[in-house]
This record gives sequence, structure tokens and C-alpha cells, in this order.
Amino acid sequence: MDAEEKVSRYLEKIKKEDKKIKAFIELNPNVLEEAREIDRKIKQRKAGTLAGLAIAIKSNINVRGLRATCASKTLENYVSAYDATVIERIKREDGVIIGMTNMDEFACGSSGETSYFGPTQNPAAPGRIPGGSSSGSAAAVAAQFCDIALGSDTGGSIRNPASHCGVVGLKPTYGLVPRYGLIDLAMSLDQIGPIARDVYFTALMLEVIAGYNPMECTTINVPKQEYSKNLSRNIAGYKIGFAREFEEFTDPKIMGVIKNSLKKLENLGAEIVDVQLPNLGKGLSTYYLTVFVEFFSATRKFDGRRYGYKIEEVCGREVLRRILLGKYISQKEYSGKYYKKALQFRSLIKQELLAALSGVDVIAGPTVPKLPHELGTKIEDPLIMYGYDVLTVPANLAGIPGGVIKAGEAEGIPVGLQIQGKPLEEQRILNVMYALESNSGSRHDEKRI
Amino acid sequence: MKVQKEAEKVLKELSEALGEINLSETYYVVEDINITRSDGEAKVDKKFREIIKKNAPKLDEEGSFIMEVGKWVE
Amino acid sequence: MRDDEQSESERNAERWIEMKVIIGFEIHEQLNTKTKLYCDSPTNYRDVPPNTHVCEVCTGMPGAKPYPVNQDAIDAAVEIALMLNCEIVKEPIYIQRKHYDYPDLPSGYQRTSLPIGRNGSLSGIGIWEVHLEEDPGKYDPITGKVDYNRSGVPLVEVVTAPEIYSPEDARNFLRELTKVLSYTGKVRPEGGTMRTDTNISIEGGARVEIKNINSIKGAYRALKFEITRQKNLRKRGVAVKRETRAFLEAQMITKTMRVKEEAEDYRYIPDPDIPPLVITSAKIESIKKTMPEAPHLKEQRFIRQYGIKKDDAWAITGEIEMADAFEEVCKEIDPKTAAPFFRHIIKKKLNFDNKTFSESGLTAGDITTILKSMNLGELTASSGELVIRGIIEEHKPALHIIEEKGLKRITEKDVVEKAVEEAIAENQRAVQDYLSGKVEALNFVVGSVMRKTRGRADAQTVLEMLKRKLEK
Ligand SMILES: [Zn+2]
Repeated sequence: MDAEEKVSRYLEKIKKEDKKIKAFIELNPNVLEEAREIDRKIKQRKAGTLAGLAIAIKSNINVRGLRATCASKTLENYVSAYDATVIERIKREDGVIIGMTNMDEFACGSSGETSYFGPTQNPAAPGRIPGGSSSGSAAAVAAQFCDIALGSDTGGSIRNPASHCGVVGLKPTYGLVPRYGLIDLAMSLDQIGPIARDVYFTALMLEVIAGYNPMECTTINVPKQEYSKNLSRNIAGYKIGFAREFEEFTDPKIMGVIKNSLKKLENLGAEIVDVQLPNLGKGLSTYYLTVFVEFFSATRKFDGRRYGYKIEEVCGREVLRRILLGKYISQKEYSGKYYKKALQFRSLIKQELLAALSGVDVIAGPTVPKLPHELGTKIEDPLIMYGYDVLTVPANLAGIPGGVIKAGEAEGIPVGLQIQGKPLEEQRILNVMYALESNSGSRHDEKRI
Repeated sequence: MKVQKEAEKVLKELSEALGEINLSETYYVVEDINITRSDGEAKVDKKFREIIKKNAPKLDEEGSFIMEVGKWVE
Repeated sequence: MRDDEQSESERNAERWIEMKVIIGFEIHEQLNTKTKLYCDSPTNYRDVPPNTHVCEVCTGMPGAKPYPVNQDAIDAAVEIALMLNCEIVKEPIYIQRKHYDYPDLPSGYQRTSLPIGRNGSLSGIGIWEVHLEEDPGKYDPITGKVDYNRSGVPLVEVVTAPEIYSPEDARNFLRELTKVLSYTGKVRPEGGTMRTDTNISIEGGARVEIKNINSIKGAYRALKFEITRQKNLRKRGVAVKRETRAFLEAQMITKTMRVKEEAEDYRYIPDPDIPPLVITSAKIESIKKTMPEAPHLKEQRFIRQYGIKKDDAWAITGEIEMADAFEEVCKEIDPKTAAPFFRHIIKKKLNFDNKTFSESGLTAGDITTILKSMNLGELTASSGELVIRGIIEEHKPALHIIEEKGLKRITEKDVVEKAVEEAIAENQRAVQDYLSGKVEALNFVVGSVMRKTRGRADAQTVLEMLKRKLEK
């Protein structure tokens, strides 16, 4: 099947099913033309590693000529003036951008419900939230609307929906993937990463988007890795850490599925080792206090003078809450009390996580402490929503990579196993996921349309 | 304002959960310093202006944004 | 109306003259880089249509991140700090986000570094700090027009201690600072890019900040106005409000922008997109090696080394290019001859034309040629001045001008003698008058000789030669 044919099948499927799922905000009007162009390249054997793969992009990543709305009325009509660095790299490797996906407004949420364009459905658990904030990207992959999607992860926004939608997601080490062109939630935490239906595609996409960008100040200058080529199912001898503290926060039904998959890993030759994360719970406050300040700063440009609307005048409640909180706690008189303190706790959490990782290859555990709630459930207390992130925020605070793969199901709803690794050790995470994936029989080549 | 009220509660609970600590702040996860570039030849993307035009709420014929008049100017 | 007010306030000012005025400056000057501080857009925004020399970074488009900091701008700021006798900060220098809402700020914050240099001084006035920041766009508050071509151009900001006590001292200080900045060659040479914010208070009164001052002359006028205004208020028993005022250049007045009660909290945070800068000792040493001698040090050295007058030295060191040329000239010419020539002939012409030495096209070689010829008596003083004018106006080398205008003094005796003989033959009536006792009639004959030699003969020599011939 050539790229054009595949893309048109995806488009047909989207046309039929996406009214209900709402994975996309906008489709690329030139996608077929672009696919034809790549087919010509394929015939001439000049095509890149993503040749003809259909890629869905979260709406907070700039694709020149398409709208980067952040699922907000603020940027409802904002047309990107340039390509994000990751988009340049995808285009260079001949991936086809199929469209821009739905998300929590400005990535502020873990449910996919706060989009100005309406909530996304969970294709893997109908009636439930898909998780967020990369809700549309995970849903598009789960619904087979694309081959691979890009999400962004500030405190779990790739891993959370990947878990709820039963797909694979990876948040890379902070600085491994360029952020140039990613619309900020919190600059010191944000990372772009892949969401895909299998580990191979996840590795393939990571290998395309990862790597130093000399025109950015916070990317790491390390040699390029061939993650897909180096995938190995042999995890015999791997030490996999598990922290008792995970259980304190997690629904026993979820814990059951997680424990099961840890057993599988043991059967594959890995050794499960106890690690301590006594300050796990403190991650949430640390994370949110940091996000409020950075998000406040990042949103000052949305004043409606050059493009879009003034954010405070049109945004949803969660976005407004974060802006107000950020404005409040970044006042000179309070900086020591909140922001600085959060940054101090950030040091603590980073130290603790790196210490725990020092004796093991990876740490494995649950991703989200609760099963996805039913769409439309009113959760009035923002702190309950924030609690969904307790297991994912530490990786962002420490800047380490974290992957998620489906571990099984609880009440028929997917549950994802989160695997965290040392900085720049994405390969180990991918390998553990790869081993688990082949063990549960969901190989990438079996599910392709 | 309701959001304001909720915000106060959120802040109270989040900060109470932290307690005291005596560690230096982590401002940057990547501990690099002096990320600089040398001054070189300037670049201009001519098409960029088109997209500015597309997005701008108000531009004049010369290409200046038209924004509010200064409050302190009568 | 305003005139009346002013004359009244001037009278008042006299009565309050003993009150001490305290002035401090924050001076911003654009650095002379090709690209902007955090992106590759061009820094020359003059003469291009609005919003053309811009990109996503300097217009604050969603998702844009700053490029790595322009190293040349950092080096320039370090050099300027060193020239102002600052200590260079050794600790990490964070680039801070200074948040405020204004049309000219594309991201809602301005990136401004923590101090690069501290505790310096110039002309006896303390320099609190030198740091680096990005220029905002250009906003016309009257029409509401905004152009971001200027947005992101690197600026160095110099903050003085409040140790200036009169508008005149303020003017002198700013002139001296401008000189130092131009000496480095790291600021934009076009001029007119200086912007200052001024803090001014009168003993016992609140501090007022004046923004929008774009020239030294403007600073002087704004201060003059503000002192009168504040003294006037005090005289009437009204307290001066702590506020920010704008200087309206066309009207030469200041006007309230905002009162300090609504003082802005800039909510500074280190920019998470830019790791801190660290200036190493090696960097400082390498800049010190190549940086120019500060103008006031040069002035002192000239007085000492060349034995020239202070006023001459001050004038010559006004511009580094002129000072360099002077030293070059002094390799062949007596400094005591060269110095007054520089100050009275060259500098006078430059001031008249409102040109800098480097714009003038004058070279040390040309000046040496002229002074040498004058010493040899080949060129009269007034011809020397003509040659200088010729070079500046016609952009030709000195020898060319001398040749073309025939300015070389005629010393060959036979040439002058021939002209004298011709003049005697052609002006027999004047000659007869002279011989019959009308002494002044000889001037007419001299004039004829001078015309024939196009002024290149020495008038005294001609006169003597005539007398000798006629007495025979
Ligand atoms: Zn630019």
C-alpha cells in the first residue's frame, strides 16, 4: 500500500468516526498531495525513515500553515508562522502530517475535557475520558487514525493518555528533544515525545525527533541514537525498581494489573528490586507551584495584540486559575514562600529519584493512580484532578525519561505500566517495553491497517 | 470570583503539603552554562510577513500593528 | 501661557536654588551586532518597512524560543563594564524575565540580565551596574502604531549612582559616557540610539522617574523642566508625588505616566529557556588586552607624553579615531604644533559640518603632509585650512587638493621676480604715483602681483622686491 492510499484510508476513517471521538481539531488540507510527493520519493528510493507514515500532531506544536490552537479560543484562528524543530525533522524524514489533535486547553489538564473544541472520547474505553493533556494524540493512535502521534508532556501529558487509551507513549529526557515550536506550559518541564500503537514506532519517532538543536539553549548535545535498530527484547538480568510508595496512591484494581506485569518482567529474566521514594507525594505541590509561575510567564504574550485574543478574556477555568495563581505567587513578596520553595523541593525530588535509579536499570510502576472517570463527571475540586498526576510529575521534575505501555485492563479499561529511567537511557525503557509487548502479543506489524 | 476562591484553597493546600526544606533551588535540569552563539549574517524570511498579516488583529497599510493609544497621551 | 509659567517658576527657582538636586541615570545604548540578541533577524531597522526585519522569536510568536545568546553582545557589555572601571561579576549571571504589559513587548516580558559589571565609576560618578537587555519594539503612543523591527536588538544598560547634582553636570556626564561608549566601537555608530531614564529628587522630596529621554539635549531640558516643576510645587507647599513621568520632547515638558502607588511588580524569574552566563577570568583578560584606553586616561597621557595643553588634549581625545590620528601625526610633527591645528582647524571644521573625524575622510597621512608643508613654509596657515576643507568636502587627498587649487607657496625667486616686472610694466600710473610720494599706491601693484601668482607668493617678499626694483 502506498502512502497516498494509506492516508486516504485514514482520512475516510477519521471522517466516519472522529465526529464522536474528537481526536482532531484540524486536518492538513494538503495531506494527499504531500503523500503523493512522498510516494514519488519512495519509488526513487529517496525517502526518509518515516516515509509515508501518517503523523498526528498535538495542537500546541507549530506546523507552518496549520493552526496551533492549543485547543483554546485564545488561539482559535492562529496560523503557525513556522515549523517547530521536531516538525522540520519529521518532514525531512518524509512523515506526512495528517492533522492537529485535540488536547486540554494549553495542556492544562489530565482528562482531555478542557478543550475549547469539546472533550475527546477514549476509543479504548468508550464513555470514559482519554486522559490528557495529549488526549487527541493518544485517541488518534488508539482509534487508528494515524501511525504515530506527537504529544507533549509537562507532568504526564503523554504518559497519562497513553495509559488510559492503551497505547505506547514516551516522555524523553528533558533536553533530548528540541522544544523549539512547542507552545509552553512550563518551560523547565515541557518535553515533546511520541505516542504510537507499538514500541517500534515509538522508538522510530524518537530517533527522528531527538537530538541537539544548536539554535536552542536547553537541548543536550549527545550523539544520535538509533533506538529502533537497537531495540532488544532481551531484558534478562535487568534490575527493575519498584517503590512501595506507589501503592499508597494507587487504586488496588490498577495495582493488581501492574503487579501482574511486574511478574511477566520477572518471567522474562528481570529482577524486581525495592527502591525508596519517601517524598513521592511532595511532587504534586512542587510541580504545580512551578507550573503556575512558568505558565503565568509563558502566557503574557497572549495579550491579543499581535494574534488571537487576550487569554484571560476567553480561556477556560483551569487555565485562568493557573494564570491567577501564577500571578499571585510570583509577586516579589511571595517568591520565597512558594516558587523558590518549590524549586528547592524540586532538588529534593530529583536527588531522590536519581538515587533510587542509581541501583537499578529502570523503575516500573503505575502511571495514573485512578481509572479514567466517565466523561461528563463533574469534578469540582481542582486538587482531585491534580492528584491524577502524582505518579507522573516526578519524572518531569527530575528531567528523566518515562515510558508507558499497556499492562492489561481493569474493568475492561486499559492500564499502563510506567517505566522510568536514568537521563538519556531511553533505550533501556524502550527495551523493557519491547519485551513486555512481544510477551503480550501486540506487535506493531500485526495491527497495521 | 469563584475561580479566585478556588485558587486560594488550592494554594493553601499545595503549600501546606510541602513543609520546610534547606536545599538550593533547581532552576535548570540541564546544568549547562554559557549557551551562546557568535554574531553572524542576519536572515530574513520574506514570507513571514504574510503570516503576521494573517494573524494580526489590525495592521495599517505600511505593515505597522495598530494597538491602543497611550493612556498618558491625551 | 507656558512662557508665563516658566518665567514665574524661574523666579521661584531662584529662591529655592539652595535646595540640593539629586540625579541618577539609567542609560540604554544599542550594541553594534549584525543579528539580534536572541535571534538571527537583522539589527538595522532603519529605512526598512515596519515589521520586516523580524521573525517568530522577536515578535513573540507562540512556541518560539530564544536562540543562544549573542556572544558578541555579551563581550561588548563586558568591555563597556571594564571601560567604566566595573568589577566583572564572577557568579552565574541569570537572564531574567521582567514582566510588564505594554504594546512594544512582544512576549509580555523583557529579557534582562543580572549585572555583568558592578561598582564602576566615570568622571567621579559611581556606576552601580552594567547589564545586557533586549530592546522592545517601537511603539508610538499617539497613533498606537507598533513596529517590532527594533525588538530584540541588544542593549547595554548603565545605571549610575544618584551622584549628579545639576542638569549641567548631568549633561557633562552623558557626553563623557557617550565618548567612552563610542571608544569601544561596540555601540551603534549612527548616534541617536541613546535612551535614558532619569531619577530626580530635590532634597527631602519624593523621587520622580522620567522616561522617554532620547538625547543629551533632551536630558538637559527634561531635568531643567523637572527641577522647576518640583521646586515650584514645594514652594507652594505641595508635596512632590513619587511617580513616573514621560518627557515630551516637542513640548519640552514632562507629564505623569503613572503614580507609584500602582507601582509595577515585574515578577522577575530567571528565564527557564536560557541557562545562566558565567564570565571567566580568561575572557576578562582577553577583552582587557584588546580594549581601547579610556578617553579620560588617554587625555591625561597626551598632556603628559606630548606636553600639550589640557584643552587641546580634551578636544583631540573626543573621538578615538582623531586621537589615533594625532598620535600618528606626532611621529613626524612637533605635538605642540599639531595639537592646536587639530583643535582649532580640524575640530572647528568638523563641528561646523557636524561630522565626526571618521566620517570626515581625514587621515593622519594627509594631516602630516599639510603640517610638514606649513613647517617648510610651502603652505601658508590659511592655505592649510583650505586643504583641510578641501579634503572633507571633496574627499580627495591633500596633495591633490594642493595641486588642484595651486595652493603651494611660490618661493622660486625668478617666478616672483617675473610677476613683479610684469606688474610694474602694466601699472605705470600707480608706479608713477608711488614714485611721486603716494606710498599707498604701491599696494595696488602688490595686489596685481598676488593675482598673477594666485596668492601663492608671500606678500611681504613681493613688497620688498617691488621697493628694491623701483628704487633703482
Ligand atoms: Zn527575530
